Order: sequence, then C-alpha cells, then structure tokens
Amino acid sequence: MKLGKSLIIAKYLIKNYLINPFLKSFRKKHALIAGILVAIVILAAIVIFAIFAPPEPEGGNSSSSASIRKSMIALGLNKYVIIDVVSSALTLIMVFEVIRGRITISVMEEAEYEVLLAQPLDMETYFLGRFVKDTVWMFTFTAWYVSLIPIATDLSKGRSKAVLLPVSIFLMTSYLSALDTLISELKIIWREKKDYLRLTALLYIIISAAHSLLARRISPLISAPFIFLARSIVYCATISESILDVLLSLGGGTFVLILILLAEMKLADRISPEYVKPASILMKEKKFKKRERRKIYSLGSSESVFNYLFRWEIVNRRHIITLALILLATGLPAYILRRFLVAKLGISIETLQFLSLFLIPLLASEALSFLINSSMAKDLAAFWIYRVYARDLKPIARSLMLKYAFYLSEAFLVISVYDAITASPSMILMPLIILPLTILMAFLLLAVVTYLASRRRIIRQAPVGLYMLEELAASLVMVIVISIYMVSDILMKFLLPTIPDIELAVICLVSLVLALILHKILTESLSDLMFSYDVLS
Amino acid sequence: MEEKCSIEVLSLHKRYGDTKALRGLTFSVEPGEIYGLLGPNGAGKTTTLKILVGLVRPDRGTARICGRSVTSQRVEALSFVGYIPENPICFQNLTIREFLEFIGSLRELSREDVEEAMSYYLEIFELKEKRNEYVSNLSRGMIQKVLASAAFMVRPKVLIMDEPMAGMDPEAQHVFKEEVRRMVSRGTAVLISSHLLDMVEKFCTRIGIINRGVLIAEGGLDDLRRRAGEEASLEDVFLKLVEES
Ligand SMILES: Nc1ncnc2c1ncn2[C@@H]1O[C@H](COP(=O)(O)OP(=O)(O)OP(=O)(O)O)[C@@H](O)[C@H]1O
Ligand SMILES: [Mg+2]
Repeated sequence: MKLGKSLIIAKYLIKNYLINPFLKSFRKKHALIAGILVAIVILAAIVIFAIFAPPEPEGGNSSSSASIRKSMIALGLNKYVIIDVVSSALTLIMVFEVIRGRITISVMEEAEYEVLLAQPLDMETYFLGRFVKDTVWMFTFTAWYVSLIPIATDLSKGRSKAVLLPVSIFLMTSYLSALDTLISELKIIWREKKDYLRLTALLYIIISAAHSLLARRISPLISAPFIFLARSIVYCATISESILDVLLSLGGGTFVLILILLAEMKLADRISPEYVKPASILMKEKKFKKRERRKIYSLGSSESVFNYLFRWEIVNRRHIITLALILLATGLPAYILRRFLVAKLGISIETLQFLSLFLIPLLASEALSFLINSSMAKDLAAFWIYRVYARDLKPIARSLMLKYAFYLSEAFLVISVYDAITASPSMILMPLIILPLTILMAFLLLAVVTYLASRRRIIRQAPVGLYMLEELAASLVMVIVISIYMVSDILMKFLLPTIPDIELAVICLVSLVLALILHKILTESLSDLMFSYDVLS
Repeated sequence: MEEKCSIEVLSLHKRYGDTKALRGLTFSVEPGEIYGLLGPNGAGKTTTLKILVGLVRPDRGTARICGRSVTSQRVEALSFVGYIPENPICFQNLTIREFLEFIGSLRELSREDVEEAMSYYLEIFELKEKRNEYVSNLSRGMIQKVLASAAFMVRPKVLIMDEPMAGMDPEAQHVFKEEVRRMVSRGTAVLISSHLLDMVEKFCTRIGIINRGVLIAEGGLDDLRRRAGEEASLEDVFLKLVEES
C-alpha cells in the first residue's frame, strides 16, 4: 500500500465529486466563498450558543424538551429502549445488506474503474483513497447536523456535551459506509459460497431473535455491533450521562471503526477491479440479462414505453416475491410481538405502534433512493431517445407516474400491514386512502428528478451517480415525502379506528376516484414540465 | 539500455454468465510492433484488452506485460502500460489539466515532466485553450484526445488502445498516428483494436482477426491477403475469414 498515492486519489476524487461540481454551478467564485463563510458563521454561532447557553433549572417543566421527554416516557420509550432499538435496527440493515444479491464495490463514475484502476495501483491503495474521499464527503454532509445541537442541548437541560452530537452522527455514517464496503468485499471473496454467507446471516437473525424472546428484551447479540454508536448519539441528549460517557462511547465506536478499516484494507487485494462498478451499470446489466428475450417493440410506441418503464419492473416474479418476503418479514414479527410479547416484556402496545414511525423513513428512503437512482440511470438516462423518437412525452410521464406511485404504495403497504397488526385492522386500507397523496408525491419526485436529468448533457457515454447538489436536492424531496407520510400515518392511527365501516368504504372509493383524476391531470402537467425542461436545456 | 517490452496472451478464457467471450485466445506483440486486433462486434476485443490492463480477470490462461503477469503482478505490469479505454470515459468534473496532473502524480512523474508533456500534447491535439475546461463540457473526440494524452504522457513501453481513433477528426488521427509511430520507433509495443480497416491496413505492422473469442487469422497484411486472393483488400480478407470461421 502507498499512503501517498491513496491521498492523491482522495484529493482528485474529492475535487471531482465534491468541489468542482460546486465551483461549476457557482460561476462567480466570490458568491460561493461568501455563501460558505455565511454558513460557517451560522454553524459556529449555533455551537457557541449551545455551549454558553445558561443551563435550565432542574425539573423545570416549561420547556418543549420536557414535554417531548414526557410523551416519550408515556410511550414506554426510555433511553435504553431507544439505544437498543436504534442499534439493532442498524445491525438489521447491515445484515440485510449481506443477504441482498448485489455483489459489487459501487462507484459513482465509471472512470474510477476504466481510467483509475487501469493505473498501476494495488487495490489497498485504492480502497484507502476511497475511504478518505468518503469520509470527507460524509463530513460535509454531517456538518449540517450542527443545527440539531440546540435540540440536544435543550433535551439534556443545557449540557455542553450536546455539542458532540454532529461528531457522533459523523462517526455513525463513517462506520456504516466502512462496514458496507467490508460486507461487499466479503460477498465478493465468498461469491462462490454466497448461499452459506446468507444462511449465516439468517441464522444470526434467528438466534438473536430467539435469544431476545428468551431474555425478554432485545438481545445484546443484535444490538452489540452498533451499541457504541447508538449510545454516543443518544447520550448527547440525556440528562444523567456526562460528557465522559459520550467520549467513551465515541472512543469505542472509533476503535471498532479502525478494526473494520484494517480488515477492509487486508482484504482489498483479493478484490478484482472487475467488481468496481457504477450502480447504474449494474442495474442495466441486470435488466439486460432478464429482458433479452422479450419483445421490446410491441404494438404502439406508447405501449412499448409502458412495458419498458412500468410493466417489466413491477409485474415480474422477482419483484412480487421480494414484496411478499418484505411483507412477511414485517408482519410476522409484528404479530409475534403483539400476540405474545407485549404482555411479557412489559412494554406498552403504544410503543409497538410507535415503532412504525421508524419503519416509515427506513422503507420510504429505501424505495425512494432506488427510484431516484434507477430513474437517473435508466429511465431518464435515455432522455434523448424520447426527445428524438417519442411523439409526445405523455406515455413516458404516465408510465413513470404509475411506477413511482406503485413503489411508494408498496412501501406504504408494508407499513400498513404492520399498523394493521399492531394497531387497528382498518389500517390496512391506508395505502388506498392516501393514494391521492401518493400520486401527488410521485409527481413532486418526478418533477425534481426529470429536472435533474434534463440538466445533464444530452448524450453521455459514462453513466454516473448523483453529484453533491443533485444529492442535496434529492434528499430534500425525500425528507418532504417522508415527513408527509409520517404525519399521515399518525393521523390515520387516530382517525381510522373511529370511522364506521360504511363510511370507510365510501372514503376508499372517493380516494380512488380522486387518485385517478389526479393521475390524469398530473400526468399532463408532468409531460408539459418534461417538455419545457427539455427546451430549456 | 532500456528494457524492451512485449505483450503475451496465452490461451485466455473468459465467460460472462452464459456468454463465452474468450475461448482460448493466444497471441503476442513484440517491441516495435503495431498489432491490429480486428473482429466483428462482440468478438472479444474489448474483453482481451481489459484483461491486459487488469480490469477484467480471466477465468483461465495468462496475460503478461514485459514478462509480468497482469493478475499476480498487477502493479508492476501496469507500470509499463498506457491504456485508452473503448468509451470516452473520464472524470466528468475534473478539468483537462487536473486530470492529466492526476494521472501524472499517480505515475510518479515529476511536476516539470507533467507540465512539459501536458503543453506538448495539448498543443499537438489543439486543446491548449481548453486546458481549464471541465471534461463534461468536451466533445467525444476531445475526451478521446485527452485520454490519448494521458496514455502517451506516461511514456509507456506498452500501449493498449481500444478503438482510440473513433470520434477523432482526420487531423487528430494523423497527429495520433505520428505520435504512436514515434513511440514505436523507440521500441514501444502497440496493441490496437479497431474497426477502421483502411487505417489498420496502412498503420499496423501485424494483424490478428478474432471471432467468437478465438484467433482465426494472424500475420502481416500480405500473409492475410494470400489467404483471400492477391488483389484482396483487408476488407475482403476480413469478410472472407469471418465468414469461413
Ligand atoms: N460486462 C459484461 N457482462 C456480460 N457480458 C459481457 C460483458 N462485457 C462483454 N460481454 C459480452 O462478451 C462478448 C465480447 O464482448 P467484447 O466487448 O469483448 O466485444 P468487442 O469485440 O469489443 O466488440 P465491439 O467491436 O462491439 O467493441 C460479447 O458477447 C458481450 O456481449
Ligand atoms: Mg469493444
């Protein structure tokens, strides 16, 4: 390994992915510099304010933090439960990553493979450079969590340790991405025996689930991998833990992170560059393999667009099986928890219901990032084809709207199944009732995504991922969509159980009709939007 | 005295899922040779070249550059190589200048060497005014020229190029060929894949034709002609041999 070269790689990758895209969009450099300075000043002000804010009198009930705390405790959520839930959720995400089929080290631009890896570098050097780049990348993102400091300060009654919150979040993102790379490496190295790897992961889940059942609490087996991280975040906002506790868990997390990194470097030279691929190419390859034998040109052009963008993706066995599995994976534990455990564990049923609020961001962000990435890589990467060949853009708009609405509804169906089991059976109707909202969300997302896609050059040979500004825009819409869904989920939980069946049926019908009308109208507007973006670019 | 370098490809096999891209391909390129690799679409040219630069791992067989295996001595082997990929793929948000500096520093060239090479190649490829332009704002041919500059800049003993002239204007093609010839005269071994038969006919010193992953003919232009009748052009030869195989 050559440290110097790793740093060179990191330097130019950061330029390419982080700095230059900004420089490019701000033609006037001093405007950019001024903007950055203002941002730094604001962030610094927040930190200073948090440190020197007068601590609140103990037991003062006037602040908002006290009421947040109270309502959380009413739900049976004390800090230990939160730590356990957060850390085991993170573990589960990673285990899911092991089980998932994708075998690759993903990169944003193909040049990283075609150009960079054709240089005389060992893979260890490359991986280290990549890690440094990722770290800087995540640092610029997590810097914004400084704005959470006041909330943490408030919750912890003015403890200055709250200032460490962004550090904890930064550690968590680094840890997640390093672990993700390590898992990819293991999957590549053991690709011949991938079924064993999956089986091991599954066994791990089953054993820790069994242990949780026996011990009547979330097993340390499942929370241990992320316990330091969860603690370092939660302790920033608690009253009784000192700054030393936060630092200790940060130290623990950092130590494990270093171990992960060492393992990653150790394995790097067993990875062939072949597996370093942009996610977009992989998506294409997969589609290509499956569809070679299909007739692309069926009847009219609008039908083939529909087939290409919508039907093949939704109505295929793999997709349906995946959905069924996810439904089962949420429904079954929910049922078991509710049926047998609520009483024994002494947690309230409300806690269980409350958990669906964690599920929403998890599932929705998974669905959304998949949609956005696949649109950029596949559906809209070929924007120019539509420009040239499509008579009008309406069939494309319609198919895309349908596809987005479908994926979002599926994500929501999983949540409604969970809610139906833990809260009230009528919750199962939720995806239908909020369908008009879903169509609206689909429209919002597509408007942003097509805008981003149209800003790109018409013919690009190298498919790439999202750049920083695009990423920011995309995550902004994601946040909006997710919050809207969370709010509607809470509302539904209150409202639905009180509505009589007949009225419920009427509401569903109205929603359906409304959704259809909205779909029609918004499809028109979307194709208009697409057209005008197109003319602009 | 400088070490002379060759390219050796020994019974390479590679499959992608069900597709057998290479089925025992063997050939070699000596120092001072320009070897043209021809073949229909999907014959396995790109796969071969990617194996030679370590981007793809062969299932069986060996590929050596200057006697070093590209799989087990990857770093050493690649330190002799300049490579131009098939598609004009380059870091979208680096400027030409930054990109060339990037490659230069990875190859441990001194700052002066990089500056000198940069001004030389950007001059001959007429990219001088564009040196601070972002790659995403360049045309296909321009990117191809940038990639060529990067490959030439490192003073390779082995040049591996996948359809390098696709998209270049005639003048650039001329400059490009001159430059390659200059390097060949110093003993560089050149492997070039192409569909431009006229160019290959005049430019390459030896030609290999592959189809479905195996070599179906190899030799100088005259050798190949003999197999298809005296008056045949390379195009006739190519069509005949591919047909027969
Ligand atoms: N990443 C890949 N995954 C699956 N199949 C591949 C992949 N790369 C190449 N192939 C297949 O391997 C075969 C050889 O491809 P290759 O790119 O080497 O051909 P080529 O001779 O360079 O063709 P062209 O003249 O079109 O550039 C083709 O059948 C192709 O479909
Ligand atoms: Mg090719």
